[in-house]
Amino acid sequence: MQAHLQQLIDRGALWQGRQAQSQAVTLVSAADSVLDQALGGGWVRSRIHELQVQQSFSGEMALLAPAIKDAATRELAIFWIGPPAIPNAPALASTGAQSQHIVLTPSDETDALWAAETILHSGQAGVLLLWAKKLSATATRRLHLAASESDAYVFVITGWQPEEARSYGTRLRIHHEQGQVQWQILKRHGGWPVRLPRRPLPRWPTG
Amino acid sequence: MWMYLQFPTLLLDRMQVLQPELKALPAVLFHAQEQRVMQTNAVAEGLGIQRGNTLSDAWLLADTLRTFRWREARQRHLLQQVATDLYQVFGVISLDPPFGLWLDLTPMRKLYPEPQQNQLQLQQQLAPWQLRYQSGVGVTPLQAKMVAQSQVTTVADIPIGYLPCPQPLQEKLQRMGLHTLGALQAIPRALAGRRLGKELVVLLARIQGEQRENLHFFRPPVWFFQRLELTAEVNHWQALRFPLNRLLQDLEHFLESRQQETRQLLLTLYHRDEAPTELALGFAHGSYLAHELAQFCQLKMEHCVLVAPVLELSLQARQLQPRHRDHGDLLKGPRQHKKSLPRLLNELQLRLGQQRVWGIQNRADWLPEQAWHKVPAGQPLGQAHIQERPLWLFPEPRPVQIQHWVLLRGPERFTLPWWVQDNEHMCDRDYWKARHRDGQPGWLFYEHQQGCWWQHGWFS
Repeated sequence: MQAHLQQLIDRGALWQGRQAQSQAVTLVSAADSVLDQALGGGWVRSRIHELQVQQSFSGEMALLAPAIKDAATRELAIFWIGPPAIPNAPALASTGAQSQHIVLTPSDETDALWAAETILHSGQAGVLLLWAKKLSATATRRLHLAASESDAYVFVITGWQPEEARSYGTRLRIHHEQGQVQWQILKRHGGWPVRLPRRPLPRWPTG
Repeated sequence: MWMYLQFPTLLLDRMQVLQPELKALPAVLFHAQEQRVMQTNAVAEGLGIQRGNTLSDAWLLADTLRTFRWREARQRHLLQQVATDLYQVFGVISLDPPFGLWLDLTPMRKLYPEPQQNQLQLQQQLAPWQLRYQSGVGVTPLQAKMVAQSQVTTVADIPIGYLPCPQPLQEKLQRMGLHTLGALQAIPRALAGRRLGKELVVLLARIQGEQRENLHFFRPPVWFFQRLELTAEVNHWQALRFPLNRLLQDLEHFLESRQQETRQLLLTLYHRDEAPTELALGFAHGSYLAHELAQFCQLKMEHCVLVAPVLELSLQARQLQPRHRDHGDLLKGPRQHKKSLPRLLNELQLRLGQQRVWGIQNRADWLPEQAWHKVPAGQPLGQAHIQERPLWLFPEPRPVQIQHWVLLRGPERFTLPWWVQDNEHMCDRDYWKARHRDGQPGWLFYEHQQGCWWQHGWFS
């Protein structure tokens, strides 16, 4: 019986309730009180979080605004790896005049992953945003190890993925329809998958 | 007071330091035209090979002999490097290529009052080079040189053979029974001049210091160049790493002593027949540490393929600049970073390419394309001068079907000022905030000249 249990735990199929509160984690809000509550306070630092969007520009960036602001106050750089368009400098004013936004446009996914890992190992990133089509289990695992040693909030923004096990701290699927979004949490720390009620499309904070 | 340093096996000694495996083998440098041995290492000397032997004799004495061509230009270059290093402890240096150099000890007397201190400083400075050298001290440069070459204790004992004069004159002196400099100096100058010519009188005056020597004083080079011959042909990058590290360490030493850093390296690989391969490495931020530079080189090398086996390797660093230090905050204590941001950005740029890593910065302009600009990564965002802008901007506006959109707020008109001549790229535009039929808010504009709608960004 014990051995079977251990196997299940190793595979990540079982979740132990007691572990949830044992570690002190640093969190930042996910810009929405309902989502924050569902995520147990917000995004956890030094973990990787996956945001699945059917289409870019579906309000995913608004959820990351507090994390980006937090990085700027910690005087750490914000890395944008392979963004779908150019981050517009005037709109980023809320992160402060001194914040450093560094954009990388790697030619392929191998380079992008290498860059992400190198950045995380350097300890210079406050937030790392990685746009990727599809990440293999190994790539996620490596990224997870690099993130756990770093001081950064790491977000992977990708299309809808099949529900295989991956080393993400959080997996969030964003359903967007007619200016309404619905967040489907596929994986979260200390809780079962859940689908949250519909909300209006969140906006990137201006000014 | 002058000191002369003679390096009888300068080039070979250097090769042994750069390629330690040579120390165990008999090795010589030979003169290509005369086919004679120019320099020998300790193992070769142990087998009886001497300078001046023909190459064929040397082969008879040692069948495992490694032979290399003696190149005078390279020895001259090496002598300069030695002088550069000695420049840190001796202020006045004059080169006597290709085998020696002078040090003027008179200006150094304040610093090193005891004569032994000169020797001590010299030993310490030359220790890492592992060079064989002979030194001699004299009142004039010529005296010092002859003492160093002959290794006698007093100036009067210097054999006539070391006198820098033509062979017939030396033989003439020998035939007259003058075997040492002391004996030559003992005869009256006027008599010597009458019997042996004016040339000898001038030479004696130079030796005595009555006539000043025309020496060119050494000035340290302003940039770094070093070339290295590999022991074997190299086909892979991995085999180049060790010799490259040697060169980088020398570069670090060079930069360290000048408190400088470099932003550019030029790595040249020499092949047998093909033109040399040149690899230029540019860094966004200066660096001087050998291990850091080695990593950058490796990042660059991984992407390149060797066209042909490499025989030689050279390293050049020209864009030198004073060092900038990130001192961190005194109150917060040292930063807890494993790698500095400049170093990280260098690595990223080398692997991904210069164009693929950049920063964004605000600009004081209201035109959408001009309100921001690309800057070298690592610069702050700056103050925004305009509000209500979308988060995402397309590099090029995209044409849209206006039927799919609902206009929400606008228009906001942009007109190019009359003093801007280049109005082909942009004409009058009316910008609108609009909602796509899928629900996302976008940023559209209507261009009056062409009469069509474009999308320039997304707000979400």
